[in-house]
Amino acid sequence: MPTTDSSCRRGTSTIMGTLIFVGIIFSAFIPMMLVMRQADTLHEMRKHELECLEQERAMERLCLYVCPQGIDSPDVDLTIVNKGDVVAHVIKIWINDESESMNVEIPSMSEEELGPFNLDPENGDEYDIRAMTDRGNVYTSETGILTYQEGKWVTETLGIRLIFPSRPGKGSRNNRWLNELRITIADKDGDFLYSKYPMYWAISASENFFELESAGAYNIIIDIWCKEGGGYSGQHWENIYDGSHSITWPIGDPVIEIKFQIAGDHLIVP
Amino acid sequence: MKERERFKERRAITPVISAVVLTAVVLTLGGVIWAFSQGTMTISAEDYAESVIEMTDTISERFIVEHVAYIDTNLKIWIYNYGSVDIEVKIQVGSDTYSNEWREISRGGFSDVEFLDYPADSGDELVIRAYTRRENNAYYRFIVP
Repeated sequence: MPTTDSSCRRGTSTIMGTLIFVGIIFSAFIPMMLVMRQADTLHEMRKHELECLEQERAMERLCLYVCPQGIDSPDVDLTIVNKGDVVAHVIKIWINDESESMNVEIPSMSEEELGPFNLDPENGDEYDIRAMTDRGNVYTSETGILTYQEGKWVTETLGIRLIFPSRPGKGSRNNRWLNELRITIADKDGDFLYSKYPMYWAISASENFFELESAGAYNIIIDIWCKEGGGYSGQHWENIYDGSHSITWPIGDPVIEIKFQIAGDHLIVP
Repeated sequence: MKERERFKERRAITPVISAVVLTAVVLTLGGVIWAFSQGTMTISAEDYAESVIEMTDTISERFIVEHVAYIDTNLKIWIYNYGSVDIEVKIQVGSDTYSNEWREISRGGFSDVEFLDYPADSGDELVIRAYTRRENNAYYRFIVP
C-alpha cells in the first residue's frame, strides 16, 4: 500500500512537470526559434536584394559624349547613351567642381540629349564633365576633357576620307574614264565646303582627306574627266557618285572613311 | 478495532498533504523555470534579431566618394549614400582623420565635407577614405591639380 501511494504521488508530479515542460517548449522555445528563423529569412532576403542591386550596378553602362554647339559657342550639349542592359537614372551632372541635379531616366539601348549647358568659357579653361547615376556609378566624358583656347574649343579633327580603288587600266578599261576627279562636298544647307576640288586618281588606288569643321550630314559629289563619247563630242566631266554621309561625332568617329567600289559607269559604297 | 479504524482514518491525511505539497512544489518550481526560460528566450530572440538586423544594415551600406575638389587650400569631398540605410561617416585623408563627430547621411542623400588649409602641392596623390560607424569603407584616389 505505501508503494502504491508513493507511485500515485509521483505520477501527479510527473504529469505536472511534463505539462510545464511542454508549456515551456510551446510558449518560449518555439516562439524564440520562430523569431530567429524570421530574422534569418529577412537577412537572406536583404542579401538577395543587395546581390541584385550589385548585379544591376555592374550591368549599368553609360557613354557620355560632350559636344560644343559650335566651335566658339559657350554652350555644350551632353548626349548620354545607355549601352547597358538596365534602365539608368541620371541624378547629377558634374561640370568641374559644380554639380547640377538631374532626374533623367534612360532606357536600355537608347540615348538622351541634355542641355545646353552654358559654360561661359575663357581662354585656357578646361571642363571635366561627368554624369552620376542613382546606383552610384560615375561616368566621365568619352570625348575627354574639353579645352577652350584662343576663343574656340579644341576638338578632334573632323573629316571625311575618300578611298578610291585601282583605276581601270588601259587593258581592261571599257569606259572613258581619265585620271582626273573633282570632289564637291556640301553641307545639309547646300553650302559648298569643297567645290570641284581637283584630285588625281592613280592607277594603283588613291585617297584624300577633307577636313570639316563640325559633325553632320554631308553630300558628296564626284565627277570624273572622260574621253569623248556617250553623246559628247570632246572630253568632258561626268558624274560618277552622288551620296550623303554623316559624321556623328562625338557619338561616332570624328573621321569617316568612304571606300568606293566601281560598278559599271559609277562608284558605289558597299 | 475502533482504535485501528481511527488510526487508518488519520493515516489517510498524510498522503493527501504530501501530494498537495509535492504538486505545489512542482508547480512553483515549474512556474519559476517557465518564467525564467520565457524571459531568457525572449531576450535571446530579441538579441539575435537585433544582431541580425544590425548585420543586415551593415551589409546594406552603399556609399561612394563621388567627387573631390581642391580649391585654394580647401579640400572638399562629396559623398553619396546610394544604399538603403542611413549612414554616419568620417573622413580620413592619408593618416589624418577629420571631424570628431560622425556626419549623418540619409539614404539616397548627399553630403559635402569641407576642410580648411589642407597642405598639399600640385601633383600630390591623396588617398581619401570615407568610413562609417559600421566600419565600411570607400576609397578615392585624388591627385591635387
